[in-house]
Amino acid sequence: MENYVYRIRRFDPEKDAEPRWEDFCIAMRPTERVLDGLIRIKDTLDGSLTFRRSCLHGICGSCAMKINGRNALACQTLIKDVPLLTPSSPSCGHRGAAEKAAAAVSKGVIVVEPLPALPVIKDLVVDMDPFFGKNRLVLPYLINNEPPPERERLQSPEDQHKILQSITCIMCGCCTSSCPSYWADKEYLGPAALVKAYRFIGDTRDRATEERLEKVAQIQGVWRCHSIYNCVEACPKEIDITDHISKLKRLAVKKRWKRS
Amino acid sequence: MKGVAGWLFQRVTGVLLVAGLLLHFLVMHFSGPEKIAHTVVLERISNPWWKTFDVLFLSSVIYHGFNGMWGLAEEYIRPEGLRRAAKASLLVMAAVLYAVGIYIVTLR
Ligand code: HEM
Ligand code: SF4
Ligand code: SF4
Ligand code: FES
Repeated sequence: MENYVYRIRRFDPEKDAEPRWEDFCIAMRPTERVLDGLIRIKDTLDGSLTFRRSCLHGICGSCAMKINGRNALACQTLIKDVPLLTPSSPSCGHRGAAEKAAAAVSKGVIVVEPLPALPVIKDLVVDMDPFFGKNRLVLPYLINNEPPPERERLQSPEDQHKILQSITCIMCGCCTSSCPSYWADKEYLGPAALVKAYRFIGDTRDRATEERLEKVAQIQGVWRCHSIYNCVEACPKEIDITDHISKLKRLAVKKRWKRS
Repeated sequence: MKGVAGWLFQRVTGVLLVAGLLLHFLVMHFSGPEKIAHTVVLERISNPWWKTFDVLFLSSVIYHGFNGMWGLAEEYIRPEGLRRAAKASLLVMAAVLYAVGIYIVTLR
């Protein structure tokens, strides 16, 4: 066990006018996850620390947060893999002399903040409504009015493979909240909604490709993406999001100049 | 389907710029000092093919550069008044530069 300082960006709407930093010093094994530390702090040091988690296994998408400057799932980030900050690092946030001294004798500092660009409700919990609202705009469900076959609408393994990556999205929000285009324009659909659109546009059983392309090939849709790749770096499922968006752009160009 | 043409054209003009840049460098910088003497240059820019190339190159760079800056203003300048002012001055700059360019291409 080693001592680590968790420097957490906290905000209690009932008490704080502004978000503030708070330090917690706890003992962790390097092979534990950042989320284990948060749970330990809540259990032993401060029961009011607020964050979301459910599955603890990188599948529910609820523990997305900013860890040392990068959006990630806290339950999927091992302490030993976090590039630890020294107490003098400028990205370490504000702190007084006592915190500085505690940090100096620890193994290093782990800065934990809520996801950027989304309204903070409390501590590490952000309001995901704007994020899920964008998702609804791209019709995130299978549309097919043809009479259903006796058992199910089948798909060949090859066809399934084409959308496999986009299916693995867990809607955690790491991507959209890391996108500079989204930071600048909250009306931009954002990478997660575009991946979702791709997931159904590429689905051979779906019949609403045209309708969905119409929704995403808009100024505040795919054309807001300038291939900055922040989303790809952030995605815990390693989805090549930018590649998916590029494919949507190509489909839009094809549709626009298709001879009808 | 708003925005498709603008996006595609930014890429098309980008490709034209690479091609134009290559030709420009070959002719102006790698063909020897005698090829950029006053009389030789005057003769070259009076050639209709060269004029066509120049107009195409000029149009590409003006469109590409200013459409790019337009996009930046549109996306990143939040105060509306400032954004409008920036876009208006971009239009003026583009028009002036295009006029100067055409003037020079048609000198001879
Ligand atoms: C050498 C050939 C060039 C190529 C291949 C090229 C390519 C591109 C592409 C593909 C974009 C779109 C980026 C995006 O929206 O994702 C772009 C944007 C832009 N280009 Fe060029 N370009 C070239 C030369 C130039 C030149 C000479 C200028 C200046 C006169 C220029 C100014 C801009 C500006 C201001 C933008 C907008 C910024 C942005 O969207 O990131 N480019 N260029
Ligand atoms: S690649 Fe596109 S969607 Fe992803 S972060 Fe960049 S601009 Fe945003
Ligand atoms: S694409 Fe990746 S980062 Fe974005 S919501 Fe899905 S899983 Fe999360
Ligand atoms: S707790 Fe479910 S993804 Fe982290």
